[in-house]
Amino acid sequence: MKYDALVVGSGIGGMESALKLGDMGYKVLVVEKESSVGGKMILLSKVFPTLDCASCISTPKMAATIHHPNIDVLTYAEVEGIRSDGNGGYHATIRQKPRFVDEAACTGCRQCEMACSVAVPDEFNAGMVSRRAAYIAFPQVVPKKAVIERAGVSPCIFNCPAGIKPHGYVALVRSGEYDKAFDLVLETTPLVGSLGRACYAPCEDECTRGELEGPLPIRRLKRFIADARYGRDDAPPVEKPEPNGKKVAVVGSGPAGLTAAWQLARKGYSVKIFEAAPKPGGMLRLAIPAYRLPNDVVDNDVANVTAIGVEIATDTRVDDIAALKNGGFDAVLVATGTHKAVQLRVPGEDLDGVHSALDFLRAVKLGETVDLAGKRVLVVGGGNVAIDAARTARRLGAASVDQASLECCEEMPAHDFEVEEARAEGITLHDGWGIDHFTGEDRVHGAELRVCTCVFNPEGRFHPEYDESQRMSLECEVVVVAAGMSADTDAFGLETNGNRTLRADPDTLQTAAPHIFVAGDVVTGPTMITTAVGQGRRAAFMIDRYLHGAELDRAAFDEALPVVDKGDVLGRQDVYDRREPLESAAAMSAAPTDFGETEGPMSEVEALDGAARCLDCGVCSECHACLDACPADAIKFDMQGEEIEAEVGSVILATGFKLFPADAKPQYGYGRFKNVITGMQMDRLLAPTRPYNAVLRPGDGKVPDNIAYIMCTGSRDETVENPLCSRICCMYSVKQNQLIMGALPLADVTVYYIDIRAVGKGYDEFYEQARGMGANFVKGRVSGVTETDNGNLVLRYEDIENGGSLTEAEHDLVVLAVGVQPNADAQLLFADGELALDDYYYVGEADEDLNPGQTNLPGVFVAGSASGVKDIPDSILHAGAAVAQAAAHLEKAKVKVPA
Amino acid sequence: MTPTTGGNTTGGTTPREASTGNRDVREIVRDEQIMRRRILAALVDGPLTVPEIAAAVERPSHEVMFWVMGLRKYGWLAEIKEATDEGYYRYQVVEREGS
Repeated sequence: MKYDALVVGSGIGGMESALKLGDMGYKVLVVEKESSVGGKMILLSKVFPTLDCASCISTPKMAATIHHPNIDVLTYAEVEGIRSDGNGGYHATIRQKPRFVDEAACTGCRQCEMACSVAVPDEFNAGMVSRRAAYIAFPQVVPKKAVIERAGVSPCIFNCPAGIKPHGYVALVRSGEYDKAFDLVLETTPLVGSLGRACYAPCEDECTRGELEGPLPIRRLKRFIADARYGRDDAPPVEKPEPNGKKVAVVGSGPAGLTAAWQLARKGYSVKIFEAAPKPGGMLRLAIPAYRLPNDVVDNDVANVTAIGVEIATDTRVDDIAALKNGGFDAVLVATGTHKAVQLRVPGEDLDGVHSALDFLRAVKLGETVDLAGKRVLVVGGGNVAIDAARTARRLGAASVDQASLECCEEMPAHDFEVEEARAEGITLHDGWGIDHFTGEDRVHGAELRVCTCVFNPEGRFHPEYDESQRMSLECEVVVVAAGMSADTDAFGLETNGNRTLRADPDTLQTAAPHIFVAGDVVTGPTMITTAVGQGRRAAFMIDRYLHGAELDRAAFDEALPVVDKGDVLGRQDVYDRREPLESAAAMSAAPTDFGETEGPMSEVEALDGAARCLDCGVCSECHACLDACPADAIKFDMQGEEIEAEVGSVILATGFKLFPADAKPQYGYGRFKNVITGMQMDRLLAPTRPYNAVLRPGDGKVPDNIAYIMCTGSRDETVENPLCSRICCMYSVKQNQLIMGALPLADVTVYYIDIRAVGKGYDEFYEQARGMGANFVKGRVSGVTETDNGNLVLRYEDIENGGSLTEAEHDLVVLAVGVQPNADAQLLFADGELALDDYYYVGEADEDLNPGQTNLPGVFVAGSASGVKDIPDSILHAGAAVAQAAAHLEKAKVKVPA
Repeated sequence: MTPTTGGNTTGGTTPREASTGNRDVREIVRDEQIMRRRILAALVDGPLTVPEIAAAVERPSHEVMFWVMGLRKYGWLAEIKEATDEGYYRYQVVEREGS
């Protein structure tokens, strides 16, 4: 990209610079960091002293800038660096931030904004009202295109192996959109209810709220939305897509198989699942006890899959995977899980009464008779399956349940809460003990145990070592062994790894046979449900590409932004309201007798309270409400930022100024007293696009009738290290005085000032006009403000014109005429120290008197308030000077780009 | 001289707990979505002023201002044109899909 001039910033100084250069025939690139051109002026009510509507005179310039044939404008972009090319010109590196909205398609209809589930303070309304994460900044925005604010991926989303969007469904619950929340999870997996109960919630481990009082109850919120949907008689039916004529076989109906089948069916594939067990669901159905995951919940989840047209053949074992192709299937997914029990390989393991945990749990879940009444049960293992087996034995009436784990309690693979719950149910845990052998003749009578001193070798491999001198015996009639699970893949005729898992490309999940894909525990070995779900999604994505002839190797699956930094999230607020986390709903019994759920449902109040704790880490929640709402299909979550290099003959810095932060004068109470506002906030209240319906007190919505202005807030003030007069405060206050007296004819306006600086054509007359209208000007500096019970404000001031006594006056709204500060960011665009600033941190003009607009760098100029505060006419005038300087430079250096 | 920074620019510092009645604006605004139903419910029997809504939902008036004005901006509420004698506008529910 080659341009004659780069203009940084598109406030009135930047727009004027660009337009004048463009009119002269120069090619100009304007870079604006916000999503619209216009700067601060477009946000003002009216301009002084003419009281012209700021919007009315800004918008033609904004439109002219955007549409000028010699001007290119990059909005929502930032200049990252500018360096000399050694020939009088410059190279600029520009980062185009992703809007996540296709500008060409967006019609500016705001449907995305209306649907968005995240509210944040509206910086374009001086923080007085909310906007949405998906937004159009203000009504006159140019170009009129939406932006979705995304700070990154929320940690809960980033940490979900399934690819579910927890932030999204939490935000939808917060909005009361339970159905949409359910549907958002359905976009990922049909197992909404099962995951709402049995997921180990890695999302909660990374929840930023965990850095405060504790994480959100994300898993239980998923259960809440599943309960809400499944409890409805009028639940919306699953929409069936148009068939695409292709068939896919899925072997195995666990989390990976069901999820893959669901995803493929949504794309129009005819999918048939082959399941060896009598009922579908895999481990959800066969292993996880009903007190954690009731069968009817699994039934409901499976019903999602059959409702979309997936056929499930149960009691149908498939051994010859390759033969499925002869059945007309275009692709096959093997997702058979790890249903084979690993043996202990100790003497006595083959005695009657010794069972594998998987067989034991399966028998119970399938309703077979398992009588443990009065029997002593020993469970071997330290994982979650062992815990499930022990707690199941307890419910079947065992006289006692002992559990022996090689690992000590802190190292057990089972989750801490499960160990605690097992103990609460009366299970005796022997941690750090391993089985030497089982005793008994034909039936098991007990076990001999020895102390385990180390479970893994230095390489991390399972290699237990024992202290043979420390032993104990346990008597029992039943042993349940949970020593691990492995894949049962011998019959498939597919390549396997050493641990019997299936061999496949880890990214594409494609096997050596191109039409056969694999997913879930049969590939990874035993993992979490969410990992299997994620594998199922990935497999479906790859199968779809394979059947469309698309390349698999470089396919971008779940490409996401970087995860947002938790410190950055917490740094967005100074203070946090303490919101206690929801207590566990698990109702534990020391002697449980049935398989009723131990964890109760969430009430709606609990769900809303829980969701309300969300910090909106990524800002956008990825709830996808905007995707559904956009009639132009313009939302593009996969949009990437772009780095642009530009060669420019000259640079005009029009980076404007910053407003003084009013809370840096704490004696005036800004931020503490709700009816103390800034001049910019009053300008917004007076603007046609105001945040309120009228000029109202932010504290309670009352129409104010006695308004005070405190002048020179943060300017001419050594205590805040700003000795400069801010030049515009007197006149914008006088402007506002007149507008207030027009809008609120009964209101009194009092201005507390040091002196009024009304230098400019018509300015003094404008000031006198305000006095004539009734504004009361009191000479006296305000020393402090206090608040009364009704939100009124008492100002304490030195009444200079009446003897200098300390006087108090009560008002119902106080406006702080805040000064301005330099925007030193311009210096950061150049190499360290290259661009000189003046003594007050404004961009320095090398020779302010004779060469205005010229910085210390040849070919780099400054326009408007970036070099010192100016009102609008002076900014335009100064921009003209900068333009003339730039044009002279371009002509002199002959770096003009040929047309 | 260096540009002065206000209190709301302390990114990366240890978060502090809010004192009663002085919550961070970002936190108040975030609650708009969850307060919507409560505010709409409070207005079922007719329009109310901000202090009246605040009493109904048992939250401070200045927080209710954020929510009422946000709901007004996004078309859930509208004001009745005349203010009360006490100088307050009353707000009513706008009939719309989903309300």
